[in-house]
Parts: sequence; structure tokens; C-alpha cells
Amino acid sequence: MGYTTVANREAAVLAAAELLASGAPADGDDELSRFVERYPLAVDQVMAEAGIVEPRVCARAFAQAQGDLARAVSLVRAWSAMLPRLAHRRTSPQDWLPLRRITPAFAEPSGGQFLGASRDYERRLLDFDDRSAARAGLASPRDGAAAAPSSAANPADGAQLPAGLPAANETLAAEGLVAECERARPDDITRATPSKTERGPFLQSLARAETGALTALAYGGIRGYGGRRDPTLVELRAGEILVRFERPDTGQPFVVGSFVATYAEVALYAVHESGETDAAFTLGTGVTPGRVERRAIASALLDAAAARAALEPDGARAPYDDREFITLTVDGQEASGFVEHLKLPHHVTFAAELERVRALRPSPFDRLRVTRG
Amino acid sequence: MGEFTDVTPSLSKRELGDLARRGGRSAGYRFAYLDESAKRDVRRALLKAICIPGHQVPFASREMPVARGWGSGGLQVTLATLVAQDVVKVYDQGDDESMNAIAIRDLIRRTAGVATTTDARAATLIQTRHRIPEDALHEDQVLVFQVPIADPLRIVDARPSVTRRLHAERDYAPIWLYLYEDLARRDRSSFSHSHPVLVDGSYVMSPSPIPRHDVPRLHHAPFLALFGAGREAIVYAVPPYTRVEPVTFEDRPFETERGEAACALCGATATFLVEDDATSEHRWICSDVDHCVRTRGGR
Amino acid sequence: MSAVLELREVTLRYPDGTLGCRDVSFDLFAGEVIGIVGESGSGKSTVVGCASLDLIPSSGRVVVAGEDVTGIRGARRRRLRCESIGTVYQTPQQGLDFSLTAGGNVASTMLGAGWRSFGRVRERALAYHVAMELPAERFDVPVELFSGGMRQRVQLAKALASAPPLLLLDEPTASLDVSVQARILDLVRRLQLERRFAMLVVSHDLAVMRMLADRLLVMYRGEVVERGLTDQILGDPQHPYTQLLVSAQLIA
Repeated sequence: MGYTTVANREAAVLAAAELLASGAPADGDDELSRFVERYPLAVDQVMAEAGIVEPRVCARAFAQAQGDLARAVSLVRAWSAMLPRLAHRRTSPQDWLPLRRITPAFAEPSGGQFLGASRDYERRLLDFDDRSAARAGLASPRDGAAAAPSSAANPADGAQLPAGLPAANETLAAEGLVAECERARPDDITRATPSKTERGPFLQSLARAETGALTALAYGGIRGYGGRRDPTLVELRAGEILVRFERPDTGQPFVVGSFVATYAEVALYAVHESGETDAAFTLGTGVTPGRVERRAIASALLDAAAARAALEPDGARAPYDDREFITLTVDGQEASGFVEHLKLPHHVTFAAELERVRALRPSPFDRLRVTRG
Repeated sequence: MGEFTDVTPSLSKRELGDLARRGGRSAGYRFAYLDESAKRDVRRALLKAICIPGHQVPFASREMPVARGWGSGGLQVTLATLVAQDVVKVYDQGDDESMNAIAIRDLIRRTAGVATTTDARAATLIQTRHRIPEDALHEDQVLVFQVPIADPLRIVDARPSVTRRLHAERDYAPIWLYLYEDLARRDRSSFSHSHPVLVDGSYVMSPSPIPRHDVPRLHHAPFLALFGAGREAIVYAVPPYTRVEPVTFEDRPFETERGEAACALCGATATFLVEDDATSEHRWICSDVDHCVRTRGGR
Repeated sequence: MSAVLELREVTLRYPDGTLGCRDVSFDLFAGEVIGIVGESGSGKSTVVGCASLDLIPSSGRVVVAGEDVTGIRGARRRRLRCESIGTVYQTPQQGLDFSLTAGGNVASTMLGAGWRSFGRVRERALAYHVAMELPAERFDVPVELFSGGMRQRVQLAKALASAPPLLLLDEPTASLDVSVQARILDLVRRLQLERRFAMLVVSHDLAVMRMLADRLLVMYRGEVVERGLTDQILGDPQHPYTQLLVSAQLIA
């Protein structure tokens, strides 16, 4: 479909287009499965904002909500709220099976770059051809489809990406160019009442945030409404994450399932205003279930900006750098619910306000009058 | 290999497996919809709230079938509090037949099997949005208020990290200053609904967006008042017979919205009235619909 | 007679490691005015910050009216700052809320001290507003509309409204036009002679000190290098730094 004119990337882009065109069928053959197959990114977005990986449930919610994403997320969250929380697991690099990995910051990172199935380089032209093969969804992780390496290899030869790709930021860290940041503690924010200013709960709230809100706030920050930002995407990695548990009888680890997620890492070029600290990059990370990449990138931007602001001495923060402000505004359910709640009856509260406005009118802004007590 | 830290050591491996198998299956609704962990979280928060009148207690607010901002907090408080023998009234700005009140009442009835009523005198638990019933209430009743904005200091600072500290130190000078400025510039307070109140001489609280007309009803009330803000994930409470005093200067007494009008339907002069322009003449009618209907019927 | 303010070996290191002040000790009695003079970075603002309870010393003690207040926070600190310690900051932004009226700024002192009568609060605030030579018709005007000199007067009114025994002034005239400075200093001097509160003045300007201070502490790089009666210090400075300071400012 879309070609770039950069010679040695051309094959990669062609391969990406072919991958898209050859999308494998998802589980089952019914309506929901077809929906997941056809609109995987809408399903991904619902899953991400609902905070649970259940493609068929999310497809059902999307249909029931007649395409209203916020409402679909509501349905799924209400359902998942009553599910028992069983355990946490930490993932290790061995648990990630990469499907795609790019490092804009580095031309030749250790482990290589893999374009994967991506629409980034497709021309954004509306296609009125009903028979177009572009309708097929992204390659399903289950069929083990290969991602295209940046050299012009044939994608059909089924080469797997190596598991455990080293992080692209390792070279930066090794040289000591990365600013020390707060470590994130994993807390389930749906079951605890954590601080809104610590990094761990902040990252979790970003992972469940409304996609448009993330993008808008990240963008506002880049535009300069926050502290100085010069962001570079160090790494964007999409992959299948294996979830492992131990067998109750033997203690041997086994895989209970997997899900696709996207991870992004952003480096902010930092010349600290205080001038005290050495120049260093502040790294931010963002994760999202599914393949809606702007979620991960925006989250990483917000994390980096907030981490950098946290390094500055105590002072007023621009909202775009303030974890508390961001956490309180990016939850799509809280935001859409409250905005829409204005449709509820307000005649009593408005009557109360009317009464005051009428009472205060006679001398509303007479600042220069002095009444002696 | 990575670490496999199990954070639920109290569950045996078999229980873990059983749970995982049953997890996705819905065996019909539980009593009052909420699962046991949700009930426990809400109840613990409520107990703490009752012990510290007017203090905002955070809780792990669950996502409900009702959207955030539409009463999810009040609903969680009601569902965690009610028992099978309760008689529940749900109403919205005085109206039992508001669409949202109907939806909430219906959910409660279906999942808890309790009786419902529109008569505030007969109810044992009243979930209300922004009104206190005009009827005299008694000791066996619980009022659950739906709260949009839990923090009365929001007008002073948007940041909970700042206002939490103000509350912790009982530093309410900012709100007194707000009131001073109102009176200095306009000779009148601009507080309309949600008039800040001082509870038990300690915390300043928002009584939810009830009109000023209703605020005196909270002072030394015989009923238990519970306040739920689901979106903000906060509950607070005022136990019976607690001091609840509007924040006013001692030489500027608290005023309600009292006007001269009477209800065009039932003639009441002591209820909270709202304007009605549905007919050709402009008139005032009771906001508390059920009370008005009963007054008209002589009940 | 016990001191209104005592500092005992107060040392403060800022979080980034820089030294604020080291081993500063002095007593300030009722009716007395002490000036702390030095250039920027000398530590004089750190010392007044410890006295105003804005800063917490790393070591040493701060005692106000016989009460050890080192490191106090919260309600107790607020009460003291409303009732016992009046502070005029170098820039009005630090001491005032520009969105509030002049009256509101002054009223905040009384409201912080627990006054709950609007009439009484307003009466007292107006009395101080007028005593600081501010026009009565500007009493309900937001401070953002005031000139620099007027804003300093509002700070003074706010600091003095509860008749505290201790007044702290941090570079009270530094942000003002020269023509306005003299009037403010005049006012401060007159108030202090009338009401006899203890006063600590911080300035780099020896002329201010000569007008206001009975005794001087000269600070250099965080330490007190010389102390004594103002006239003696200015007339016959002993420490080389003081000599430099005096000659540089060409005091006649």
C-alpha cells in the first residue's frame, strides 16, 4: 500500500503492509470474534481504558454502547470491578516476546530495530474500495507471525524476534547520563487509596487513562505549557507478555496466558533550571495493554515531565508537570461521568444560586465603599 | 528467571485455582450487588468516618453500573449499609420520579430485594441527591447524600495535596477570608448551596449541594448522615445529635433562601420552593414532590 | 526582663548543602531595635527567616517570649505568627495575597488568631490601615491595584494588627523607589517609638540601620563578625569586612 522513498526502508514498509493484509483469524468464528479481528485497535483502546485484557468482553461492550467508547469502558469496568483480584506478578525481560521494536533515539541499537506490523507509514488516504484487503486487522499474536527486520528480509520466512531484547537505554545508563528518578511501587489503585503524587500510582493511572486526555496533556506539555521539554522516543516496543504462575503441586512455573502490550520510553533532554545538577536525560516510561501506541508514548512523556519536575526544588508546578493534576483529570470515566452529569436535574441547586445572584445584584462590584463595623 | 512474588499469601494454591475458575462466571447478583471486598472497604471507611465527624475518608471506590458523577458514591454507601429489612427511598433534587432516581432505586430493589417507598416518613434509608426531606425525621433513619465535590476547601485551592494539609491542621483561615472578602465587597455571602459547615467544632465539611434552607436540619439531627463521593473516592459522616454549624461570622447570622412565596399547589410556606414556568403564570412550587402531594391530600 | 527573641547558636544548612548561617546568637529585648547588616549571601535573610518561623534551623534554638519555638509547625506555628510575630517580607508577594483586598490581607491576621466577629475584625483592620497612612477609600480594593509603597504599608498593617511583641523586617525598603523609602522608614520608626515592640531589621543599607537600629550585628558569609551599638559600629568599625562595608557606603 504505502511506500516511503527511503531506499533501505522500503522493503520493511512493504513487509508491514503485507503483514496487515494477511491478518490471521482470531479465536472463534462468531460476531464478537469478527469484531475483534476487524477492529482490534478499538478493542485495544477499550481494554486499556477499562484496565482489563478481555477482547471479547470489550467487543461486546463496544457493541452494546453503540460505539460510544466511554460508555463501553463503563460497562467493562463495572463488570471487572466485582472480579476477585488474585495476585500480582512482575514481568522479566524473558516474558516479553517482541512483535515490534523501534528506537528513534538510536540508529543501530543492540538487538536491532523491527518495524513490525505498523500503519505508521501508510498514506492516510480514505479508501472507498469495498473489497480492499486493508480491512484485515493487525496480525494476531497467536499465529506467531514474524515482524519484519530492518534489513530487507522476506517476512514469510517466519523468523522470530529474539526474546529478551536489551533495553535501548542501557548505553545511556552505563554512561551515567540518566537522572536518578523515584522508583515506582506497584499498587492496585482500584483496591487501595494511594497517594496521587507518587510515581507508582501515577503510572497505573496513566495506564488506565482516557486516550484523548493523555494525548492532549502530553501535547500541551510539548507545546511549552509545562517545563521545558525536548523529548526523544528512546524505544517503542510492542510484544506479547507471558503471564507465569507456579504449579500448586510442584512449584514449577507455567504460563497461564499472555496479552499484547506496548511499552514506550522517552528521554527528556534536560538542562536543569537550578543549574546545580549535571546535565542528564530524564527517562519516562509508559505502558498500555494493546497496540494503541500513542497511549504509551503520551504516558511516557507525562511520566518523564513529572519526574523531571520532581527533581527541581520545591515550587509551583505547571499542571502539565503535576502528577496530582494529571491523575485527577485523565481518568475517562471520572471525566466523562462528571461532565455528563450536568444533564441531571439541577433545578434546586440552580434555584439556590439564582437566589444569591438576585440578592447580590444591587451592589455587586462596589469595591470602594467602606462600611464601618 | 524473574521473581515470582505472590502477594496473596493467605490464599492456598487450591483456592487460587478455584477462584480463577469461577472468576469470570456471574452466578447472578450478590446481595446488594457489591462483592464482599467492596462492602468491607466501604463499611470500614464509613466506620472511620462516623468516628471522626466531618472528616473526609478516602476509600477504594468501585466502578458501578451508574456512571461516575451520577451517584456511584451514594450508591456504594447505600448498598454497603442496607439490610434486607430496610425500606429505601431514593430521590433526586426532591423528585422520586427523576430518571436517575428511578434507575438507582430499581438497581437497589433488584439486587437487594428490599421494599421501596417515596414517603420519607416510612423509609429507613433515604438516598438523596441534594435535598433533605421536608418531613420530620427520626432516630431510626439513615440519610445517604450523593456528593459531587467532597472538599469544601476546593474554592480555596484545587489541589487535594494542599487542602488535606489545611484540614489536618484545622487551618480554615482561607475560608474565613473568602467569607470576609464576600462581605467586604458585596455585603453578603455568596455561598449558595453547599454552604460550608463546621462539624463538632472541628472539621469544616461540605453538606453536599443542599440549599441553605436544608443546612439547619443537620444540626443535632436525630438521623445518621452519610455522604458518598464515588468519583472522588471519599466518604464522610455526621453521627446523630452532632453540632453542625454553618461557617458564618457571629455578627452575620446565617440566612436561608426564605422568600414570601407559598407553594401554588399545596400552600406550604416553610418548604424549599422552585420556580415553575410550565403554565402561563409564573409560580413557585415545592421541590419536595412527595411531601407536597401528601400535604395537598391532607396526609 | 526576659528577651522577646533569643537565638542560640542557630545554624542552618540548606538542602543543597549551602550554608545559610552558623552559630548565630543574640538577645532582643522589648522596645529595642537590632539591625542585621551584610551583603547578599551574608546569611541575614536566613537569620530573619528562622526568627519568623519560615525556616527551621539545622541546629540551635529559637526562643520567642520565653517559649522554645525551634522547629514548630502547624497550628502552633500559625498561632504564633498571627499573635506574637509580625513579619514584613522583602517583596510584597511573599507577605500578601494580591487577590485579596487590603482589608482582607490585614484581616487574615485576626482571622488566623480566631476572631469571629466580622465587625470587630473589620474595625481593627481599618484602624491599622489608616494608621499606616493608607487612604480609607482603598480599604476594600484588591492589593494588586496598589503601588509598591502602598503594598509595604499593607504588609506593615498586617504584621502589626494583632499588636505583636516582635516585628521582623526583611529589607523593608529594597523594592521601593528612593522617594518612597524615606516615608516608610519614618513610619516604621514612629510606630516603634510609640508602641515599643521589639524589632529586628535586616538590610544591606547602612542608612536604614542608622535610622532605625539601636544595635547592629554585622554578618559575613553566614557568621556574625562584629556587633555593638550602631553609632560605634558605623563610626569606628573594627572588623575588616565592616570597615569595607562602611567605607563602601560612604556614610557621612
